[in-house]
Amino acid sequence: MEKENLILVSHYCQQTRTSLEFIETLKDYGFIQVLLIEEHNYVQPQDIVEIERVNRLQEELGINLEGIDALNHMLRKVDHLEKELKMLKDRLRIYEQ
Amino acid sequence: MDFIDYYKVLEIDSKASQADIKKAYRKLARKLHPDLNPNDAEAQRKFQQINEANEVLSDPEKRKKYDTYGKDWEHADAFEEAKRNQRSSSGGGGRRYTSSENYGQQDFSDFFESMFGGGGFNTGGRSTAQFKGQDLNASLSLKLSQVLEDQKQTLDLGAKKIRITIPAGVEDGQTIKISGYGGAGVNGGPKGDLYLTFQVLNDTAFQRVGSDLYMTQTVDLYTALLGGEIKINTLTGKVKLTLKPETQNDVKVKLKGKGMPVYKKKNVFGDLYVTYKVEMPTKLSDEEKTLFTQLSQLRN
Repeated sequence: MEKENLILVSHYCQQTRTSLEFIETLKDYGFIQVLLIEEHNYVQPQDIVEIERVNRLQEELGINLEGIDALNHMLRKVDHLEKELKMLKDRLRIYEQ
Repeated sequence: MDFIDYYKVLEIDSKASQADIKKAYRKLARKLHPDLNPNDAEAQRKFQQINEANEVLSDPEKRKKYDTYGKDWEHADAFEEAKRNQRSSSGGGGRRYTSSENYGQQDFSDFFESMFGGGGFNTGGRSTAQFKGQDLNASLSLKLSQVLEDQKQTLDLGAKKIRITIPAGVEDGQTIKISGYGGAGVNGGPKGDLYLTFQVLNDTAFQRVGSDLYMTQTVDLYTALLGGEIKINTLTGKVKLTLKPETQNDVKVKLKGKGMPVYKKKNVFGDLYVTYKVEMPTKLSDEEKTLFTQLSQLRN
């Protein structure tokens, strides 16, 4: 895999004062994917967004990782239902006209 | 600029203790936090309000000022100035309000700005914490005919312009995130993100459901009865359709791949559904009436 677009975990942790254990835990929970390339750990840019989101939910709302995991599941479900609702509304509009 | 009842915003009594305020703020933050309400501008607006209310009511000095002047906030500065003059002339050490520094570029109300100066979190006890910058929301209007192909657009963000590519097939109400184009971070924290919501205005004769399109096509009675060919307009040009003899009213046909491009799936398209509406002839001539009567008699 190309390293160009990846972010070196140790570098990120150093810059943002994030512990390596935290990244490891997020990986264990399946929130992010850590790629091992030439004995160095990397994450993809979209995983940084996820790391920050989890961090905010923990810091600002005091939600633990189990809670965030359940929340992610519910948010995905809500997103799916919202899309389905919009599609059904659009479809209904055709028959109402 | 209207007065904002911060107690009402936090759903608490004006005599609420600091613990009550903290509890109410946490409860509402859990409900309205932007990470829990993606794509919900109303939740985001309310979240900013509760942040503002918490900023004022959890700070004893700000709360005192707010409670003292309340609805007379417009005169607060004049009162303060008068008080300061009184104290200095009597030799007393007048207390000065230090305006809070503009940390997170928090989008606080004009009311807050007017009473307390630049908006933002007070540094009290949190000065070293890093915060991500504020997420920004913007909307962009496009015509349906513009989203048939990838669109390159330049967004004017005030201080800077950015070029973005909008993938073909983007839907009305769909929001995309542009990372790092939100407000500046706090204390060296990362920048916020820009959430761009698309308004796709239908400038075509088709109705869109997801990536499928729907249309109604009128067919004259004789083509419907005897069969024949008609030409219809699709988004990519005219298409010839063959009608079977005795095609009924409201029959629907599917034209595979003649719908909208599917978002982020190259060369994949939805379908076009055509519903036939048989048009009855009007202003019949005497000869036609005679012939229809004969047809009717043949049937009965």
